[in-house]
Amino acid sequence: MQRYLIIGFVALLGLVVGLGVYASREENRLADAQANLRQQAVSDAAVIYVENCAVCHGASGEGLGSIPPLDSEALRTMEYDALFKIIARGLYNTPMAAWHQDEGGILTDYQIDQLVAQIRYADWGQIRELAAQRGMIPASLAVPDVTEAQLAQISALGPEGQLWSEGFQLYANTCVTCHGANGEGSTLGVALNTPEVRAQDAASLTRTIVEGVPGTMMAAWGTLLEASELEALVAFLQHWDQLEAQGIALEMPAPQMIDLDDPEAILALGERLFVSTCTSCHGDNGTGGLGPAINSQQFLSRQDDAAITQAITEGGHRPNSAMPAFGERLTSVEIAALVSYIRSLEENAPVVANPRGTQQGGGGPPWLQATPDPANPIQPRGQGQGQGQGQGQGRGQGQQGQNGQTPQQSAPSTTYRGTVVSVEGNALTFYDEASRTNLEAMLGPPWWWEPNAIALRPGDRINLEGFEGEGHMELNWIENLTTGERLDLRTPDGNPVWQGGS
Amino acid sequence: MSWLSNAFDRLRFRARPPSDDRSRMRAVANNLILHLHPTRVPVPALRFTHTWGLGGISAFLTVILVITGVLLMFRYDASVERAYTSIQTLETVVPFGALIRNLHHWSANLLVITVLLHLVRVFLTGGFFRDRRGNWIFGLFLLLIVLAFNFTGYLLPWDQLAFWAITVGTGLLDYVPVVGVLVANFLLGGREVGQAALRNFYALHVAVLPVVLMLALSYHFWRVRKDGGVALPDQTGPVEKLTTIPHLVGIELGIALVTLTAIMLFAMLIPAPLEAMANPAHPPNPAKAAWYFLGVQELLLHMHPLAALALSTIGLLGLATVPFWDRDDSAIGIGGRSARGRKAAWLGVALSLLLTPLLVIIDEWWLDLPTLLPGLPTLVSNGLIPLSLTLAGLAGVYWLIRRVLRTRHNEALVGLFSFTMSALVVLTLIGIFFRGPNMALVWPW
Repeated sequence: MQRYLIIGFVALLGLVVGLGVYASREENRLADAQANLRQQAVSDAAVIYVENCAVCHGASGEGLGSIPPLDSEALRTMEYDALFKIIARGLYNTPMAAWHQDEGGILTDYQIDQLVAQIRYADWGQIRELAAQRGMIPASLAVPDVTEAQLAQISALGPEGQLWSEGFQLYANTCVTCHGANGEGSTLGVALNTPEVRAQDAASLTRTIVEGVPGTMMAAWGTLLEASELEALVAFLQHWDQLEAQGIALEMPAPQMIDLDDPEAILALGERLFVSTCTSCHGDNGTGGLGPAINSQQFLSRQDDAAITQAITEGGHRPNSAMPAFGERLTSVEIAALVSYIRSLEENAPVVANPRGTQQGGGGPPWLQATPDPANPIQPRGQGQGQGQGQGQGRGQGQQGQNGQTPQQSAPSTTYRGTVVSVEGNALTFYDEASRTNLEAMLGPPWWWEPNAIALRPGDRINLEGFEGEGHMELNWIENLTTGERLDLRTPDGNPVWQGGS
Repeated sequence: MSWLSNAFDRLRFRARPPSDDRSRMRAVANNLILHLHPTRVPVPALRFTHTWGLGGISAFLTVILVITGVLLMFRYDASVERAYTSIQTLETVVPFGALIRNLHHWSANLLVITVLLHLVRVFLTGGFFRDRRGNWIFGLFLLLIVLAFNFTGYLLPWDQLAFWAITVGTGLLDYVPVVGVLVANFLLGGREVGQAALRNFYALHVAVLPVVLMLALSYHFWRVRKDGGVALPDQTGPVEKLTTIPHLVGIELGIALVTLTAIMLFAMLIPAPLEAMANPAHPPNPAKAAWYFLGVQELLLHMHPLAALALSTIGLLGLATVPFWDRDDSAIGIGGRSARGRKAAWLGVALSLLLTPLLVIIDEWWLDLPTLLPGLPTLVSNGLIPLSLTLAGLAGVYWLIRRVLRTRHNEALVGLFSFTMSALVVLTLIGIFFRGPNMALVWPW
């Protein structure tokens, strides 16, 4: 008994010491834990932000058109509740919608808390980066691209063409957010590309734009737009049908989800970025131009991925290099995609005689490119024996357009693996592991499914094969891995089992 | 060291400690708490290695759980919107809030282990013979209550771990014929794990189950006392007895302090897990149940849920009816019934360590009964057949132990018991460490 008491007493001493140490660190621990949660909130908010807010407020909170920037000192010092209420309830007389579930929106208290945390604490330059890390590449700008060709086409439409093209551009920069790229309207604003709007006279259209529409989200734009801009905008709105008849339309860049585990998707992103960002200097397909020929054995065999990454991030390392630093403009995910795309060129990259800029001196004159022959050293001042021969291969031969993609035999059916999220009647929602999204599938007609149903509970692991039907996925078969049950909905030749057959 | 026990004595008594045995016994008899003990205890029952103090440790953990649980209730908010944030607040704003939660969490997990070990110990020392039969069954009931406590408590933080463990767990109920869906709907207050489920589980966890546990635990203690305390071998001569004060109480205090220190240090060093907020649209991969149910979840990967549930029920019923399987009460109080029984126990463990992983691997990679028997419904090919095979296997293990070691019936039962328990442990370990994405077998490091 003594023994037990002594052990217990020693343990108690240990406990007292341990508690003392713990208590002395508790304040720090709380502070650290709160910092961690703030960090977590900002990271989570980035996803919500990119999905819902970036379209209007810009991918880095810079604000677009008349929509205010969020990266602002005024907002950071604003009261917590004020920010929360603006997001939850919206702002009257502005395009800011109410986002809280109680107000008809889609966000919960918790998510709005996180958004407020983002406004207050986030390093906005990192938001784009964070979003990209999670497989979400936001469109760099939420306004649609207006090409020179489109503007020229509009200007050529008639005497007023110049005015219309100005209006077209204004609309693209200012109005699309609420009224849609094709004036089809949205939950935020009415449709503008309609005969009714065109039927209004210029004065009443101008008045609506200048004064706004009380009780709706249409703001008063009078202070923001010049008279000439108003005139152009109204003229454009009145003649939109003519533009459309010419096939001139705006296209909204949409935020894209990219599966970061899918090398094909990464390559596709890399190619897109390469074409939009790099080719103007490095030539079509990277065959060289102002910058070195990237698509060449010389370049790719000498530069490892780290070197390419560094060059993209920090710019050219040679003095007076024209290569800008893209580290600030592209996220690490985008840079990594670029690098992997560039690397994918190596396999089919041609040997280029003079990949400019990759060597000091441009590779030397052709006659000095001959392979040295140790057996026959050249005698100085004597008769040289070795005549150098250039291996001149003109550049521009490597235009095979190789991008590492083979044309896919697009099979009509796809096999999925995932988890049941819910089953309502004959509609199955499941979580697809490959795309990490929830997909819906039809389990056959209700009258057939109900008597033939196999057990599908939320959380059950399933395999299934399906194809795109009319607006929803149809199934060939489904297997519940949890129960081991399997149900065939279609015969191997593709006929539904409920249409006769066995 | 007498100053030490004097110091403890002064903590224990208001006035001077009782100096003679008679007054010590009276002190026990007249004290509300100490009255749970007899006034004198047989010397062999005081030996630590006879009981390992498991019942006492479990009771002490229950006390810790009640205290920390009540403290947690001051900050917890059982609503879907605020449950998770209230836990976050508790952990990051309330001083020592994280410690309280860690203590509660780890004590609850440890309790599952100690009550199971308690069951094993009671079985091995024959604590279910004669009058103790009733309390054995009652103890099993208490084990179920502890599991129910853990299960309901698991949901309360409302994180991904909680939500999906409970979704998977209650999903099993649906496979129970006739009443399954009704019971699941009743518990969850609907088809989904949502606000109603959270509130129901909270009510069960903090109101219903505590009342049941308090009554059941009191009865359990009372029966231990009335059935004659710890089961000891039959004595021919008189048994030496010592007074409860100070001998038993001193040991209990010592063990309680060690337990308290261990669990506190553990709670200070290792935080209780808290994942991202529950998101019904994004199941984690793999979606695992709470660790103490992973043995059963592992069974699900090898047979139809109904068969897995049937096997678990058969196992539980088998344990409950142990007093009827083994009526040879001459072995009472002897660990493993006899020396040969102990050998049978080790053989059972060895067989289990060998066979269970082997069967898991075979079934995972080679054996696919539904494909082999395409004509049969899955309930038979994936349910009835594996279930019968498993039961036949258990019978085979019993027969093997009897033949190889030439044991008597009750010794072979010990072997079978240790085989089953080790199998449960092995399956649980496989479920915890060797199951990765898609519940495929993976190497954990």
